[in-house]
Amino acid sequence: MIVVIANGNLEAAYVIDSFKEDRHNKIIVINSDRTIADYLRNHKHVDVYVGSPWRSYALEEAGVYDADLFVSLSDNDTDNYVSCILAKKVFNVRKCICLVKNPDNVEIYKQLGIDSVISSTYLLAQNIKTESLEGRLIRSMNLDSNKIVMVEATLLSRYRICNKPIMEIGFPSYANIAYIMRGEEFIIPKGNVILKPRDTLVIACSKRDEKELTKYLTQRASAKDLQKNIASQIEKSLSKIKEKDPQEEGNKPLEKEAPAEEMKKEATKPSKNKKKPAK
Amino acid sequence: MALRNKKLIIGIGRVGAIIADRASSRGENVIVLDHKESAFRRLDETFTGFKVVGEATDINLLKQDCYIDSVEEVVISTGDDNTNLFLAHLCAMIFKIPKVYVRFDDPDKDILINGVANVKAIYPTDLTANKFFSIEAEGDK
Repeated sequence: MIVVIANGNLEAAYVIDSFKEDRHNKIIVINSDRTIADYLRNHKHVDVYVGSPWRSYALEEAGVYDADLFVSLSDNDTDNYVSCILAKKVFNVRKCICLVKNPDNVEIYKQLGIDSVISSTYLLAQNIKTESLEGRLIRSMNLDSNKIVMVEATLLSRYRICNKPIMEIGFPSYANIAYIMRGEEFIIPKGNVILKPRDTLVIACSKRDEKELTKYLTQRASAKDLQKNIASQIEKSLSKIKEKDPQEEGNKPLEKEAPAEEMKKEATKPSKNKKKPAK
Repeated sequence: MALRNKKLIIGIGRVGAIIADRASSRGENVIVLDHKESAFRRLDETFTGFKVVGEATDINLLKQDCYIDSVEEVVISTGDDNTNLFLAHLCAMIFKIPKVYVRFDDPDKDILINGVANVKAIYPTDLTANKFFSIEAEGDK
């Protein structure tokens, strides 16, 4: 793969390192600043062409024709734009990646024909936001310049969708559960998987549906539902006990009945004791 | 769709100021944009257009303060060729302005502007050289 790295200072050094790992890559470095070019040449042991990457003769002399990847890392958004457009339109580069400061430029540059636009400011803001949400039950991460979000939601027992199989919760069609984390375990969401309290769902949806999704996830179960849940769990556990030792049932009926009655009493109490019978 | 009746001039250097003054004296609806307020000193006292200070590459500024959706004609002549090129692409391809005029110091920029609809490029270097040869030819006569 032929990779062209245009301008940039420390960013260029890191990017060169990441592409140098693969020996099949041919790296072409262009930098308009002579001191940075010297630094890269001495420290990264690559040939550096000194010139402005937005000038066609510079790209021509550096041999950029038909490169697979062109990365423009300068501080100036428009310089990056012109370098990428030149590489794409005139030098037939397969894919261009453009770095921008102003997040508003991401969408515009893409519309004007640049394959991939990365905004460092936007990424920084996103990271700060994600860090600040640490510990919240529902947090989201934006992907692909604000269009898609990954929502990470931890379920509480009072939510309506808790303790139900996925096929019965009527999950909205605009979102998709990617996977479920239960402690250290990863579960692939299928219709028969029963959602449990403290499960973390990782859900992908579009940005405009995010609020709707949060509303849906945090719907509270009605008191009746809660009681039903508890009652059904008790019944299940009872039937399990019965299945396990059908012979003993006949011998010691009194002993078995006593705990069952206790459990039914618990069922009338709200969620506090709910987990016990399940275990 | 908004009525397009305004003329936007981006970059008020010597060229930009002359164009703005003339358009204003002809009674056109002119908006001038430059990143330095001091640039507007070049404008004539009789200039009646609308002055905006800010970065031309700021999309929100163009939309809100320069009413780019109702601009019929844009003249781009900032000091930086790359900015000019980007603005020309932006005005023609995204904002669909019917008439875009752009100035480039570097004649090589024509490979990126040729074929973009509604854009006409002006190259002072070529104009100067051409003028030189025409004057020279006149002198020989």
